[in-house]
Amino acid sequence: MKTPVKMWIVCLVAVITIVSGFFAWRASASSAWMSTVTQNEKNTLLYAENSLALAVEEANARLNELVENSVIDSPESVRAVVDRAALLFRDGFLYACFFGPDGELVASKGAKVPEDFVLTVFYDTLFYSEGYALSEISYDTGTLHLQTAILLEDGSIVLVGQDVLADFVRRLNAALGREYGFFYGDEERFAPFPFSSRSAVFFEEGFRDEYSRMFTTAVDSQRPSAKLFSLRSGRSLVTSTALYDADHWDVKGFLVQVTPESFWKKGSDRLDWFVWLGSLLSCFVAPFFLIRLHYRERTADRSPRLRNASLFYAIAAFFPIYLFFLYGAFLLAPSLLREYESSSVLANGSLLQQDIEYRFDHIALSSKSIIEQMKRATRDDYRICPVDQTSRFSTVTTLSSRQERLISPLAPADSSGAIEIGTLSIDRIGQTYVRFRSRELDWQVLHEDTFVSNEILSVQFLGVILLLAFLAVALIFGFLTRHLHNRLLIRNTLFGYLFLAPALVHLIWWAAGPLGFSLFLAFRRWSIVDPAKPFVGFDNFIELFQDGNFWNALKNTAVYSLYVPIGMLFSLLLAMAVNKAGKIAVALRVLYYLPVVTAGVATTIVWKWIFNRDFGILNYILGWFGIGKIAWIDSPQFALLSIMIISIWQAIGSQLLIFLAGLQGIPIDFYDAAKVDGAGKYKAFRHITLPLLKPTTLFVLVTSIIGSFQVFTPVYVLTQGGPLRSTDVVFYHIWKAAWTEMRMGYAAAQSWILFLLLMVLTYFEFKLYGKDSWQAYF
Amino acid sequence: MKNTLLKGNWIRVIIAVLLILALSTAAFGKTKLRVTTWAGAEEAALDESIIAEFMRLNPDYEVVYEAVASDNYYQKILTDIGAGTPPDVILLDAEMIPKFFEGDFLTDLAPFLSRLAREGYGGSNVYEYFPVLVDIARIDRKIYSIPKDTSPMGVFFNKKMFDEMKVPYPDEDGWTINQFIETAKALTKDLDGDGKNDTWGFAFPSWVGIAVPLLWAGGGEVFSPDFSHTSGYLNSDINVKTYQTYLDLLKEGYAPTPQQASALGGNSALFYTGKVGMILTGRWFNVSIKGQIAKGLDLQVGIASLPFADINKKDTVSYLSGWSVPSNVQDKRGAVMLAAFLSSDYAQRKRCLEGSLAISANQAVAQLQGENDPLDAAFIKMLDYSRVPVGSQTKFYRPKFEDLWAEAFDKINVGGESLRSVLDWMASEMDKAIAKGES
Amino acid sequence: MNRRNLDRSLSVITQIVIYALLFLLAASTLLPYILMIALSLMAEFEMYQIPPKFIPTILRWSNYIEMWQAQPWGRYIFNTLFATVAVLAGQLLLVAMGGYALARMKFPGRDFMFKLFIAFMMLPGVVTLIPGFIILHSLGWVDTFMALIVPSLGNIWGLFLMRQYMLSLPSSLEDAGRIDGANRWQVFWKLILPLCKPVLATVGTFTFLSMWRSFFWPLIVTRSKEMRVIEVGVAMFSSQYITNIPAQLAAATLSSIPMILVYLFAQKWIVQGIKMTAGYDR
Repeated sequence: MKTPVKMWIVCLVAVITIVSGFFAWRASASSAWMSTVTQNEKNTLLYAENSLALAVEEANARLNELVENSVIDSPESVRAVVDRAALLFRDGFLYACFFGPDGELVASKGAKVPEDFVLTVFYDTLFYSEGYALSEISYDTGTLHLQTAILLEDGSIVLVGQDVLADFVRRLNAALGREYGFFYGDEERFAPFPFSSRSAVFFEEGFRDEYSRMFTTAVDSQRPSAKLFSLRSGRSLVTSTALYDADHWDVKGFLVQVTPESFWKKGSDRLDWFVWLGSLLSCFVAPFFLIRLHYRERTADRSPRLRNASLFYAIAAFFPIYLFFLYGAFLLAPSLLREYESSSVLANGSLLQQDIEYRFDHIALSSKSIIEQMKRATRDDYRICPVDQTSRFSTVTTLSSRQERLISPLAPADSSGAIEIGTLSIDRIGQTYVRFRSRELDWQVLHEDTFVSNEILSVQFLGVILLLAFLAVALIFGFLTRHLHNRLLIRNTLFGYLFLAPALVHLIWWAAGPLGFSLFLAFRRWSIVDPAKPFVGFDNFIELFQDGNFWNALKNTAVYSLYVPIGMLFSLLLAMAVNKAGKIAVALRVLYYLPVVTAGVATTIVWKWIFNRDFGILNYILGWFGIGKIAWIDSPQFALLSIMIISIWQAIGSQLLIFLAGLQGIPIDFYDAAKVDGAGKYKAFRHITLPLLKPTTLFVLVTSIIGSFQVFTPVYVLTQGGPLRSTDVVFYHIWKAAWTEMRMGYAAAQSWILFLLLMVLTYFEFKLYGKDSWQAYF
Repeated sequence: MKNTLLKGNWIRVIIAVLLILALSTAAFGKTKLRVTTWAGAEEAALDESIIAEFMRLNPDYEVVYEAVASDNYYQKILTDIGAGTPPDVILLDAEMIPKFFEGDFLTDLAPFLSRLAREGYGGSNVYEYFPVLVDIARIDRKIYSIPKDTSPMGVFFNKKMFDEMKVPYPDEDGWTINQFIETAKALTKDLDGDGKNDTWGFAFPSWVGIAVPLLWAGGGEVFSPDFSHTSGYLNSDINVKTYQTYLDLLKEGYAPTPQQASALGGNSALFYTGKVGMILTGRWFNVSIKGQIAKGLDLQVGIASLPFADINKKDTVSYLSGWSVPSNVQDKRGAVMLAAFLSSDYAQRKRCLEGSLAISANQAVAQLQGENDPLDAAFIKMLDYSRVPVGSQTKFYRPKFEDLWAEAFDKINVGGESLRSVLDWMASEMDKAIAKGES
Repeated sequence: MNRRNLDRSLSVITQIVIYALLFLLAASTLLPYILMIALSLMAEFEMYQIPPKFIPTILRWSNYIEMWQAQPWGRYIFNTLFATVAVLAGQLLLVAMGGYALARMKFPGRDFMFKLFIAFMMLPGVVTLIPGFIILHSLGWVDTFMALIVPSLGNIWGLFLMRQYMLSLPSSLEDAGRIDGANRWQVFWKLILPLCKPVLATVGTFTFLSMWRSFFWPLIVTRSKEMRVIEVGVAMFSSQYITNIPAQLAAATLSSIPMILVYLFAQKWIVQGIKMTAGYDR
């Protein structure tokens, strides 16, 4: 049997769909990959910047100590200080000078002394420094170097210049494997400062504008900014951070990090291989199974076994895709992203260890502040503990006591050399840690995994969506294949879905994604302000089941929804009463609609008055029947009932309209026939009106009950959930959990419980009605 | 014939659709800085003029002002934050700062402010504000919010009623609980002899925001000093004694029951219509009163402090809001400059002197306010001994503490339970929540 | 004979009782509306009395002037009207087509689709707000008309109602149309849709109502003053501690007038064929 052309077309379309599906996945995966790479590179740059800051701290500390231990009261002592400075700062020593209180240069040592230092902004800044040493990078003497200065009590200044930046760049290069360079100037006028022959690597004049834009972003947001460039040496990711003056206000220059493509190419290549392999495989498997299905359809008989088999074939056709998506989203992408993060954290850690070894002479004196500065620079959390129990240093940490309480044990993954790397979690938020010993202390640096976790989450989310989409695709292609020759069926299906398309597209676009997201959230914890969304399993649901208030609210809501059938009957009778011509009927219809357009405040006042215990009409009327005064809204027993009454009253207007429309659909002939048969009004109502209105009443019942379970504002405005929680409703809990307690995950869990409950209820409502087309009666 | 008609119609439909699409995608200008507040219509107008001035002084910046109705304020900014597009400057309640401070979400403004202050930039000098207000958002040396304005809590009393019933005004420097009790009793009268009181001494303070300062004024505390638990503090004997005094007054009929108050329109309505002589609330009430007097309400108002147990140990709270900057904004400097300007001298004068919306956080402007209005002068004096709101120190205040208090009061009012048992229950619930770490 | 007289007098009594109840109910629905108008003409300190004052002593028309001048209502009304009309047009078409498909067309998966739509009606919107906003933001539609119009184009409730209504139309219609040579679209557009005037008017009214009074979604997706809608403007009259209730009620009163007019118009359309259909009084 020849395969018809149509079948080949179907296969072609299937192949195109598969390929686009894979490419969609790849687009999201590679954007997550590059995002992770960029973020980690920015983080590494922060560690590099921190390294510079530590050097600066050390210079400041040295100068502080020098001045503290010196007595400066004579020209000889001034000379002595300058000499001692030259000795102390011998690494890359450029100059040391002493300026008197009126800014004149008193003594100096070294070449290229900045004589007009007093004209600089740095000089002004020193006067607000409260006597502590400050440092800045400076270009004053034609070379980019580090200036450290301190203001003495009498207004004189000691200034030291060190050419340490070239060494610094070399060290970074060696430790981290990336290229580094400095720029001097601000975001609009800047120039690269060459430290080595490799300096050409990180700047090309042709890119000046783009560099300027990158620098501007870094300066404005005060965070590293990154951009991909195609430099002569190849594609690179350039990350830059602004270096400020001692005041942390003016921009003096930029530290730039160039990460060559080799760092991330392997990951990109893996993704590419995966996508090509997957799509090629799927493109062979899908047509294979579809054609086989087609043959079976043509040759076999119409047994029920065939239907199941064709489903099997349809799913089998796309089976590789499911596997690939699942593998890609849940195994490949996470491991790829986390690997990069780990290697980056390890590199950062090793740089940090070197820095600490290199610089921490004064750790005992200022450990807490230095740790805080490191945390400020890198945003990671630090802990140090003494290795030796008898050490006099106590544990210094930037973690809060609560975090300390909720930290999980270390789970080491690897140790390369002196550094151990692993994972742990604090309050379920995953962290990657590095651990090393330095100067008799045990250092732990914790890096929050949230960014990478969120990227992985987005890849997984898209993966699941694509999976579901391809399940639908499988069904569609299976259907097409099976009924390839049934033109009528295909046409009907096509037109059916075409008519349905606008509504369906809108639904999937606006409702499906958010729905899926809320399902994800129900198993996580998210406080909105904190981007971390750690997985908490069933915790939300367990907490939910133990929350008595929630179940009380659910009970209240369920009781409240009982008003719906009562209200419906009422509205139906009213609809029949006003379903006639004449000005009175029209006037009544409009009047009954007024509650819908009346502002809540007025409604509340009137009903509070009606329900008033002492002056209210209701109690007045009840008094005629000898019933005692009821404190309607203020009593726990009757508050809910009051609200139900008000709700019935408010629903009349809307339900009236629907029932009116429904009543128009009943031909008058039926009533005439009934009259001829001698049936009375009641019989006509029971046997003609009610059955023929079934579609309408089903609609009103289902939608009103759904609406009643989601009631919030009317109740809240009137009673705020009281008295004694008797009018507390479920939606209010969800609202409060989301917006006031800022616990989106918990709110999602509550929403899903409500959702499931409503589904069950609605199912039973449909069952109650049976067949819902009155065609069944004819 | 039919075809051309159809074509004509379709063309019109297509044109209409295109028009709609065109109009629909019109965005309104490029924004550089966004600031959100919960201003109402009048306050929004004042804010807009302040922002116009900022844009005039800093032509590089374009500011979009988003005023959100106060009930939905947090929903809106949380949606923006959750979607990754936070506004550049946010107005925050003191009570919301602990939560927002959590994920490292707010920027430390101190370094920016010190540099701006050196350049004389309006609003950036921290020493211009009342110290207690700066402390609300200060942790160590970091400042997370620039104070905007404040509302201390006090007692508004109806001078006419006091005169008619020949009750002496409360002392300007403060009065004791016993004096309060006597005043309340003297103001409660049954005017038409039907056995039911027609005027009452005071509107009962059931809202948590007034209850806590009352407990403080009585000498008690609500949280432990490290905010780790409430047992022993919230349900201490002093607190029971203090609040029981007010509850007893309520029971004996010197204040309308909450049900009566609600039936008569709420506490404010009771005060306007001269049914209660005193109402315990914040300075913001002054705005409504002035508005009503402007519309013809015949009312003369005086201010007194909250009643103290010990006149030498004065204690009260001052609620405030302040401007904060999220840490992931595009332009930190610009945002901080805007935030500072929104609290600057110019802004304070516009809002507090012209608009009289609240007491300015800026001490100099507040002094001027006090000179203009003796009521404000009384409130400003309270700032001398005000404390930061308890909600600004712990994230368990809003909403846990607030909800529990509302439920506790319900239990006393409707359920008839005793104050001590209810406070014990509340303290244990609070401690459980704090221990669990959830809010 | 006697029985008939008894029947007739009983029926007269029942008629009177029924009319009395109807008018009592009408009075109860009219009262709050009148109170709303009355309160909008009062000052706040005059508002709270028991029993409520339905006729103010002084008619403060200045409330209306103040309200109008406090905010750019012209702009708000334009925004709301534009969004409402756009949504009405789009939604009615969408819902009619979808309802027709679900009710009158036969294709595999039809009932499943219907159940899918119903299911989506049941999820509370709180948690889906942020993802919805993210979608909007990624399209660049925040603070534009698209944000007000497009998300509201879908209306599952309306779809459901259309389907139920269309189910009750006789199937002979389509057969007749097909015999005459009309294609599916023409059957839908020219035969079925005109018969759906009542339900279209119903859905249209509800859509108009919900768009005219929509508050929360416009609040979240618009930022600037120029994009506000009426209800958001009304809410702006409450600041953190004081609510200018008379101004709010003035705005609410004015806002209610178009809604009543639309209802009047719609219900006339619905009950148009009154002579052809059932009534209570026979």
